[in-house]
Amino acid sequence: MSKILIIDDNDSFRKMLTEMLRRAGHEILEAENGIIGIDLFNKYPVELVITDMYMPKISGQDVIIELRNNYPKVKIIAISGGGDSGSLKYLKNTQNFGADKYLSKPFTMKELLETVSAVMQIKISKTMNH
Amino acid sequence: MNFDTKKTLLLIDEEQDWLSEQKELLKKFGYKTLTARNGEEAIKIFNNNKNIDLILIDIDLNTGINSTETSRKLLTIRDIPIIVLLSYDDKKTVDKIEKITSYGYILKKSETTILDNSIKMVLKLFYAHKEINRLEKKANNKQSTATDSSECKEINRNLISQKQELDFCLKGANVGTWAWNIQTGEMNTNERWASILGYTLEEISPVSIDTWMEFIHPDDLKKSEILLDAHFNKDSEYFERENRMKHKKGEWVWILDRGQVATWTEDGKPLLMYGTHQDITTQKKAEKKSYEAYQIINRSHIVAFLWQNKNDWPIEFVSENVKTLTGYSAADFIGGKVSFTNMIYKDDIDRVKKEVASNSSKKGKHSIIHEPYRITTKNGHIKWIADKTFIRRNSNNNITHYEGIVTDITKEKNMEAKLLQASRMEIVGTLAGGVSHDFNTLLGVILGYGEMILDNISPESQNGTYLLEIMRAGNRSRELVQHLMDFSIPDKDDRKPEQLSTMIEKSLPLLKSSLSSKIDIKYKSIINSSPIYANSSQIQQVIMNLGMNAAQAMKKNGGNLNIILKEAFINDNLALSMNVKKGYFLKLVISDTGQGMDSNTIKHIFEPFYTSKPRGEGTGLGLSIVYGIIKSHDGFIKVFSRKGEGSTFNIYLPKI
Repeated sequence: MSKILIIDDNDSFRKMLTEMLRRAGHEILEAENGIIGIDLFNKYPVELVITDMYMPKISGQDVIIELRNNYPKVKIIAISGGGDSGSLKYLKNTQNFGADKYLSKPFTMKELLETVSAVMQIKISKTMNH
Repeated sequence: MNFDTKKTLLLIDEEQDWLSEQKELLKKFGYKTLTARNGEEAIKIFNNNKNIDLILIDIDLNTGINSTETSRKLLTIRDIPIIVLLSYDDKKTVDKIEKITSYGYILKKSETTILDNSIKMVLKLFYAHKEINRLEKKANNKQSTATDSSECKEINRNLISQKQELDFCLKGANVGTWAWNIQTGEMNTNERWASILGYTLEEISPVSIDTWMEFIHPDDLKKSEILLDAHFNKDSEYFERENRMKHKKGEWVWILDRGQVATWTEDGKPLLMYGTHQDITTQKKAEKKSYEAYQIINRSHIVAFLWQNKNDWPIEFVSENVKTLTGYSAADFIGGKVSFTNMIYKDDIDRVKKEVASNSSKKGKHSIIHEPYRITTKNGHIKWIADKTFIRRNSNNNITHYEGIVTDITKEKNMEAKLLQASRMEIVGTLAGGVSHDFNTLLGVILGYGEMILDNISPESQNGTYLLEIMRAGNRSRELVQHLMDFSIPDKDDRKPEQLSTMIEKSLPLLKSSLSSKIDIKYKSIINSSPIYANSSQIQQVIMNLGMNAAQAMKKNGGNLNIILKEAFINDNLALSMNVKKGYFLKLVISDTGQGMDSNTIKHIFEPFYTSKPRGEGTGLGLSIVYGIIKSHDGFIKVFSRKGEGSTFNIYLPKI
């Protein structure tokens, strides 16, 4: 089971994700925006970060770049619902700046759990294909 | 003849405002003016006023007896000089004048100084005629009855003084005179005849017909000779022509040359001819200027109108190019056969009238800029019009005329509508993109908790079945949002060079299997190669959506679905209005014989959630997706349809 940080500005969605992952046995930290999320990560470096892309203050893209620069080994899943950042093209592109996998909102519990376990099996995210 | 005494005029015109204005102006020139609004009134006044010296009559008297009849009746009361007033001196109108008076006309718009001068000249001529008549009568009587030499001397003296007066008149009018012995070629001219050409009479003496032939422009000489021959053969009553003659300085002077043969030889040959030369160069130059201006107007798309401030706004002038705009000729308007007011589109006429009324009531206001309005042309087409109207007021600040500058702006209006449509689509797209993120997040919450509950309870339980319905609705919402996103930002990935014909051929079997057998599908390509950069599954979706849409329109009675593939060149103009690059395009025509659409429906069909189908039958996104896909492929769509006559969708995609 893994320690996971969830960053999403939508409270309901964040709580729902927390609930889903806790039920699956994971340990969860929550942050309501990217700044709090990075601070929290600096204090409690977890194994996996799930971050929304379309957020106030700093975008999910900046969060991913910041984390990836300082913590090459952390696993990252990008999630988004729409707007420019929700387009498939954009989400695919998150892998170019550091995300390991992406999920398009809304996704099913099954899709989420499968993606999480797939990401956790990646040994060295920088070098392996996925 | 004494001009010191105050002369009394009778002015006949229908316009009360004009009458009062002129009365005031003439007062300043020392005239006493009586006025009449129509023929009958004029006759009454003339009968009761023995001291009226001269009559001015407007040629257009529309109520009661007309101007010709009025003049005839006035002249039966007593001999009186009459001057006709004209708004325009076109040939037709001028010809009409001869029936009314032999004292000529003056334009209503002339300065009062000119009017005053004309009145004085006409009075002089009138008195001179009278005197000549009197003396002739007297001479005739004397010849037959007496031989009193002193009386003869008096007649002679009077005749000489009359001649001097006439000379004086002609000099005042700046008219050159000539007398020509046609048989000998000898000519007598006055000083003015020479000075018009920049010479003194002495410089060009002795004058003969050769002098005239030397000065006249060769082209005009030929034409004058023809006219003179006609007059000598008595085919015309008099000779009249506008000729160019060479001035001393070298330039051409325009001369109005008029004359009449006075005596004939015993064998019927013309002997003596008298005439005048009038310098009309200034007038000719002004005429040329206004002719040029008029030609420029007629070549432009600006139509100029002048209409009276009366009931139904009768048109006094309109430029010839009104025919291009409306299909009716200028004569149709001026003759009152058609009315511009009646051409204004029924939904716009009240507004236009209101704009005129509200602007006209403001005293200092001199122009009206109308909001664009529509007119229906002779062929039944509707055109958009920009109209700037100038208000013409007299010195009493009453409106006499309106001058309209009218332009066809149909093209601009259509362009504006297209741009509006394009920007509206863009706004919807942006909104859809922004809203979809929040929407998907919230759907994620609903579906997520739903899944978790479903883990806890049996899906067969009552709550389980309720929950499944919630989840189903949630999933449908998710698809809807996905469609909306496809419309706003179709993925530009996975584009490669492909044949459009292949995509059509792949779609056809699928389309056939999903349409009813009442619909006959035909596909024809009239080009050999149809390469485009495209995402083939998106283009196939376009064909499917349009095919299904056509089928929907033919659901009731069946019909034909025709798909044609061809090529088209898109020029600068169309490319600009469609916001694409100019060049060769593939043109995919998908047409049906279904129920068709009205113009209002066509305007909205590509907007998301606009649907003409009954509730539940369509998402209202099918055509929006088509629009989004074609736009993202740098193409465009044109739709033609009429209620009851089927629809045609033309899809243009840039050819590689």
